[in-house]
Amino acid sequence: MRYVKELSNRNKIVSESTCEALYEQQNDAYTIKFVFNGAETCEINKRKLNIYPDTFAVVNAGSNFSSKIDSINPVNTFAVSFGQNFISDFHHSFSHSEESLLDGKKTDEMPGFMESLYPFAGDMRFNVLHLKSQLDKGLKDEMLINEYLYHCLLNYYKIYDKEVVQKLDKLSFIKTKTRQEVLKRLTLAKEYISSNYNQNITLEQIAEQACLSVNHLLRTFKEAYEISPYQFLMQLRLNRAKKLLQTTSYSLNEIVGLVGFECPSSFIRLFKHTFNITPLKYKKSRLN
Amino acid sequence: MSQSAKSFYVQVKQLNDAERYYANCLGMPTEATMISAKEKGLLVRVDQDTHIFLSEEKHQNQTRKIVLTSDDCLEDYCRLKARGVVFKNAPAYLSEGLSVEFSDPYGNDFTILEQRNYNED
Repeated sequence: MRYVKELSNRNKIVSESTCEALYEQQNDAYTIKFVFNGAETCEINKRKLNIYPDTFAVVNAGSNFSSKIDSINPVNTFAVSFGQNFISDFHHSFSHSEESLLDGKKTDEMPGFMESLYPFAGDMRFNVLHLKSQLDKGLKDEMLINEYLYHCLLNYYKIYDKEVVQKLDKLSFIKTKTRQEVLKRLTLAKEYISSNYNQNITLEQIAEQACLSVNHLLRTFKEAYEISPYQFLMQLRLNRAKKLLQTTSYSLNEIVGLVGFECPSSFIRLFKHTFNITPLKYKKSRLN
Repeated sequence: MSQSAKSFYVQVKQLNDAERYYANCLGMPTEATMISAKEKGLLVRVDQDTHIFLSEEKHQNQTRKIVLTSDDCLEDYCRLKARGVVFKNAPAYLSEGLSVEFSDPYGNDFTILEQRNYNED
């Protein structure tokens, strides 16, 4: 099932539920891509990443983008693209003070987002789920759709501030350019871990993907995110396992394999240590 | 909007005017009721579980602050805005969720609050 909703201001929403898809295109508008179940494999400017339900991807206008879905169960994807005027108006009002907005000098300044994976949680999740549910029911009111989209951008700018601006401040390099370059590489490391969390990945592979030495990766990753790459990987595996326990009927052994753990006993120990409940008790509590 | 059984008692200047505002502008069904044996009032049904009792007289149990919980604050905001309700602010994020405020013509303050559980799995 697929529907496309294009608004008079060129904002556009595409929702699709499919087992197989292959798209390749030059992305003509700023786009935020979500996946509600399963995974979508994407390539943004030759960078491979997987979008899972706990992340969303941002793609700038003009970027080369391709995506692939190949799954036994239907994967539900949702993409919102913003018209040029809508996003430049938003960017202008968000980035300028009330005083300078009153001066009325409007620039055609366009944002340049860090194309990456961001956590799909909090208000962004609530608002996008509302928008999707309304559109699935056949919502036509453009004012309301635009209000949701405005809030989507508002939520994204806050997430960007937390995930990029605040992380830049945490890095101890003096030169801004160095901090930006290091964060860009750390982002590659995070993307690689998030996209390959269920594989047997090594620190050397992560460092290679990020074009950093292992020592440099360990030091700067901890500085920016306050956890090590290994802890980040474990958190990701445990949270995704938790989601699978909640939403699927897979057995515990299947889930252990799906999220990249080699042995069920270490998974159960880590799960209990992190969430104070065993995986099976957690599954039962969710069923109740 | 949804709310677990809640009643608000609110003073208005004139019931006839208030009926027009609550029914036509806010789109809430109203019906005549008796506040006491001698006093007429107006019952506003916000939803199945939330009622507002309007009266012209002043009573001790009345309030000027009415919080209506919502399943989708942005939907309610746009629906009411389209009906001519003037909001005090744009929908804003609070620690408990998303909210927006407006006042009725008699100075009673309404908050529409969509409670969000940010710790939910």
